[in-house]
Parts: sequence; C-alpha cells; structure tokens
Amino acid sequence: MNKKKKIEDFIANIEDDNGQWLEKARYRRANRGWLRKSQKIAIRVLSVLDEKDMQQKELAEAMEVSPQQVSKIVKGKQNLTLQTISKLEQVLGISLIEVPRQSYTKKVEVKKTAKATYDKKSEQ
Amino acid sequence: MEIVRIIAGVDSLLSVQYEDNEDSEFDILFDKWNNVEFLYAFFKEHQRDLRKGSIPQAIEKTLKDAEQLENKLLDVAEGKIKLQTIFKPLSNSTYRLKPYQKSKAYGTVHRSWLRVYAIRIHEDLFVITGGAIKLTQTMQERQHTQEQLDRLRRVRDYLKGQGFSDDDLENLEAI
Repeated sequence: MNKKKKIEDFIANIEDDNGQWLEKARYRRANRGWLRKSQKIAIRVLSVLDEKDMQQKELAEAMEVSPQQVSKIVKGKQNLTLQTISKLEQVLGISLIEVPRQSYTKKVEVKKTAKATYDKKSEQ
Repeated sequence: MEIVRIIAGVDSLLSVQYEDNEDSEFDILFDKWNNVEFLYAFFKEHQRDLRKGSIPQAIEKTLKDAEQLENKLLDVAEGKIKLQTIFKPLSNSTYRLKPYQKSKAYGTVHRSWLRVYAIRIHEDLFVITGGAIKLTQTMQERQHTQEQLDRLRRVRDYLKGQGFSDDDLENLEAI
C-alpha cells in the first residue's frame, strides 16, 4: 500500500475524544487563581490528616458533611466557601486562610475646633 | 485499545484510550497531575525517591510543572507552537527524531520529573501512550515507569498491526 495512503487511512479511522482534555485544560487555565488556593488547602488538609492519623470519613463526620464532599476538598478542585474553610479550620485546629492586616499610611487630622466642641459636649 | 484524536481537527496529537476507560490516557494523565489526593498518595508511596524536600513541596512542584506543560500543550492545540518543539527522543543516546521513535515530552520547568510518553509516526504526528512522574534515573527501576515502557511497546505493536512497519520509517518522514 502507498505509504501516504496508509497514514491517511490511519487518520481517517480515528475518532475524536469529544475534546475532553481541551475543555478541562482551558477550564484549569481560566480558573488558575482559585484552583491554586484550593490545591494548597487540599495539601494542608491531607498533611494534617496524615499527622493526626485521621481518616477522611472521620473528618466528614466531624464537619457534618458527606464523605463525597471531603473527597472533593482533598482533590484540590473544589471552589470552597468561607463556611467550609472555617469548618475545616475548626475541626482540624489549624489556620488555612488569613487576611493580612493592611497598614494605613493616610493620616487623619482632627481639627481643634471639632475636638473642642466634642470636649465641651462631653462635659455637659 | 483505541487511538483517539484529542483535539477536533488537529491530527498531530493523538492518544491511546483503553476499553475500560471513558477518557483518553492523555486526559487521565492531566487529571491525575492536577489531583492533590492522587499526588499525596503517590509521593507517600515513593517518598524514598524524593532526594530532598517534603511531600507537600513535591506536590506543589508537580502541580506547577503540570501547569506549565499543559499550557505548552494548549499552545499546540491553539496552533501557536508545534509538538516537535516539546518532544525529545526517549533514549538519551539518540540525537535525531525518527518515525516510530519513542518520544517523551518534558515539563518545561528545570529538572521536571513529569514525562508524557508518545510514539511519533510522522514528522508532526504523535500518539500519546501515557506518562509518569519519573523520580529515578531509569524507567526500569520502578514499576510505574516500567509499565510505561511496556505500554510504549504495546502501542508500537498495535501501530504495526495497523499496517505500519519499520520499513515505512523514512517514507513516512518524507510525507
């Protein structure tokens, strides 16, 4: 058989996989920001479970959620709510997220007249 | 075993799909490399092969490498780069890509341990056979990488069963 034809026949008989990888890869790329955070939380949760010799099933019971939900959390693919994160922190006795304290640099001036008025009122 | 097209309309990137799986091996690979639970279990089992660093560090490195490799492959899917630019010969002693050559895609981060294995059957036609997190020098040292070598052999045999032969090598390259 002609070799070019052989390749053409080979390609012609190949079916699409319905673009499953492409769709997932594009989703991962578009949602990278929160997925990274979800993955970091999953790593921490699995490490703590390992340290405590605790099963995922026990974690689910303690959190009063289904084992399926815990399974999703530890895969690092779940868009977690603050409520779920707080439950995880409480049950495992760890801190998972913290909002850094913002340092305010803008000075607020208090006018003397305003202070005087306040002082005067407070004396009454 | 079946060979499927990963991206509709793009014939250069094909993948093996086994009867007992709904997804292609390529799809399964990136699902695993983005699954923290899978990675934790993997590095726990292969902890002795981690020369330095903890399991969490190994997972973070893998996730980062997988992200970069997947982005490269997305660039291929979107026609920005060619597959040839990310595949290299499997054997370190082989310098030139040839048809039927067993190839591997490297993660783009320095010293990445991620590998995507493929058989190249034409200049720009690759069949992905699978992939692995390779922590040892040779593939024969660990069962999960040895299995990838076995797969490469099986897919190569399958392709021969589809009418390709070693005699086709040069001609296929010429097309």
